[in-house]
Amino acid sequence: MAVGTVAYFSPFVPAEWIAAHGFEPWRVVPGGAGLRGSQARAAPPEHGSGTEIVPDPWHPAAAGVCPFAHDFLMEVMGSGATAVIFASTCDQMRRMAEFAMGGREGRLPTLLMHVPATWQTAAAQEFYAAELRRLSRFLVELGGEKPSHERLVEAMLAYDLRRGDLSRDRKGATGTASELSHGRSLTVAAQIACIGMRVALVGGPLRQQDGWILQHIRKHGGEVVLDASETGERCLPAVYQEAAVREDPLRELVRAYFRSIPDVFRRPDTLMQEYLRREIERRRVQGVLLIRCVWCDLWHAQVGRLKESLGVPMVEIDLGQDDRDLQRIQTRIDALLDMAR
Amino acid sequence: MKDTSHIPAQISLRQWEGRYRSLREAGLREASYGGPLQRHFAAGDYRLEQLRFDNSAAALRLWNFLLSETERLFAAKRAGKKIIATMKDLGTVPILAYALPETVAFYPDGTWWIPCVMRQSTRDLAIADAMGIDETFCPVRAMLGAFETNQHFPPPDLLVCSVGATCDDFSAIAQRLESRRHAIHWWEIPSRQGAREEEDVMFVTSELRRIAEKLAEVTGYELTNERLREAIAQANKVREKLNQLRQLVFTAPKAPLPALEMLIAEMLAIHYCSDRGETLAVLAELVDEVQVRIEMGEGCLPADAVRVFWVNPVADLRVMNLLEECGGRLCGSDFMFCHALDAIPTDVLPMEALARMALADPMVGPAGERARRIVRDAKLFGAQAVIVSRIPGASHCATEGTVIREVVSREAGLSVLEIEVPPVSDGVRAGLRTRLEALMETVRRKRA
Repeated sequence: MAVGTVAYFSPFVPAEWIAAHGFEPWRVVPGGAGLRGSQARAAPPEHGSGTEIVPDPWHPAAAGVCPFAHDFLMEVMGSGATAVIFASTCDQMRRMAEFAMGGREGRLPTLLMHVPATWQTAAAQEFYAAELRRLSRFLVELGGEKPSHERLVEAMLAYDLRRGDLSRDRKGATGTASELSHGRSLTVAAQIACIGMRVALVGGPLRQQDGWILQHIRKHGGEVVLDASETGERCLPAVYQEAAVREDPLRELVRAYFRSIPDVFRRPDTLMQEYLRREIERRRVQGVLLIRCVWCDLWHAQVGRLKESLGVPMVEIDLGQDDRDLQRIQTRIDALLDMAR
Repeated sequence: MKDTSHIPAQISLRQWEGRYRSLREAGLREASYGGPLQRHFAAGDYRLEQLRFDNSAAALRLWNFLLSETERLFAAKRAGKKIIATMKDLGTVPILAYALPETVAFYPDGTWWIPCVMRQSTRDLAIADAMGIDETFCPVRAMLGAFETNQHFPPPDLLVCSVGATCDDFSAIAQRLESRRHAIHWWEIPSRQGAREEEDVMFVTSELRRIAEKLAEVTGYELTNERLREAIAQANKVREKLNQLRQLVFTAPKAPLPALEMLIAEMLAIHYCSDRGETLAVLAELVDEVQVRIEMGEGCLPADAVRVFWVNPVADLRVMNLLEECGGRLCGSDFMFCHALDAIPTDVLPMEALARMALADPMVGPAGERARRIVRDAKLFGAQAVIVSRIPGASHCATEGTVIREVVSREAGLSVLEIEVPPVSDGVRAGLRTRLEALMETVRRKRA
């Protein structure tokens, strides 16, 4: 029986680290509201207070607030979760943590985990390890138990196995990091051998209500063969090496997460560039749909560069909170499919 | 006719022609970069024509110093000095660089004023647009164009950029720069959290040591503790002089120096405008001028001007004039680099002292902490209102205004106005004027 539920979103927060401390990890992919708001939400905490969303203190579109970061905060604050972990991987999420810690939305035990943007030095890797230890102390203060070596090894291998099983079931196709982490199906990602236009999703996170994008691609003759969004396979940790897990589990966590996940905030961003080039070639991608939240500078700045370097047609869509965007986004997706043909 | 030339006033570029002649005739002695301001206009700094300047010789020297930085950087390059481009940290890395002989540091970030100063007559923003970095990003994107054209600064020998707890837009723009084959030495500044303070200091100290090693590799000089102590001593002299100026100007009954000149003067502290020694001399002359004006009971603005604390630098310098046209005066500022105004501790090892300074950056901590410092300084300087100037496209501006407004209202009871200032604000000037005037009116009603 878990002692509580810990909400997070960043792929750099290891679910197994939270689970090993006796908590249920809850990777929150916001359900949002509006046109598609009635669709299924991310796995709610079993003992939480339900799906109540706290009153919205801002008008995000007007104020320049990232809609994903905004929805994440709103959903977590109204969820009844025991605590929330933010990661400093983007400025907007970093600043949302401040609202969770003591803003007018009320207080929720909150940890802002600094994930270094630099990643090639031993000092950066040790910093990440130190942040995991700080997360451990935070969880213990909330009633969790510091895991024994055996318990941590067991949790890591169990999560690794579950991720592996799901990946194999999909025959190498896509799924979100959330479903792969938790064994639940949250989106309509491709699960069958590709027969249509081979499309890669690249970019930031998708919310629950953005699942229609995948349906639209399929309906119009495309197939997503690579989900390199932040809710997709790109942000999964590397497969564990069992011997390394048994010898030094924390070090292996650092390797699998910090040293392996190719993300847009990392400096330099060579891990991600190499990953995209490799996977786009390997999966014979014919078109790239770059998805970003409105106001996401990190992904927006990649558009010009990826157009130069990837060598396949690319179209950018920005996801906001306005349902009037729907038609515009559909048109852009159709244009990509036309270009790729 | 009565000679009024000594009376503090704000004058136009055209009026400076006559004023300059008078000063020369009266025996004005200038530094090597001196001369009439009009020559900068002729060279393309077209925004100067719309600005109003303080009429003192000290202000003339300040403007000439600022506007001659490009020439100074190219001259340094020709003289064989190493040019270090430092990005984002605002105040820390230049101290390391200036500790070494034959080394000059500057901020490519400073090119964010070029679209304003040159009234968008350059291609810098168009080049950034072509790279996919459009107007939804912070105006600092102009530096992408500057690196392509090499018109505003020479190709640097080393680029150093802080990342981690920084704005997303800057990190993204710098990464785009690196993709154009400008190798960058990245260093990490973690988000400041009290619970982790000593670990952060140790980490940042090690990051600064990495920079020192890189500087040694590029310049051929080792960064010893002795050199660094001396560099810190020099930095503290500049900060002390600047703080003296701030204290005098912000607390004087009549504003002895306009907001625009104060903004420029504060900017000198972060990288010395590529000449550390001259920075101190420029600030010293400003302090002397201000002291004389205060002793004479003179100021450049009416005594009843509303005392305003300003948050964030403006992309369009003309808005600082507008503040005064609307009845305000500057009485306190947080131009995003308060940490570069504080004295650097000298009772710890020098690299650790710089790490502590870097971690004091208001932008790497919670906006609430920044707001509380604003409250403290606003009370210290007797500010009556706070203006938060949003930087278009800057990620931190999405939420910080909300936090600052709440804290300032609650803890200081001051009116807070949030505005957004584009690089050339002429198109929104009427709206800005209305909002600023409304703020002044509100404060006056409260005061009455």
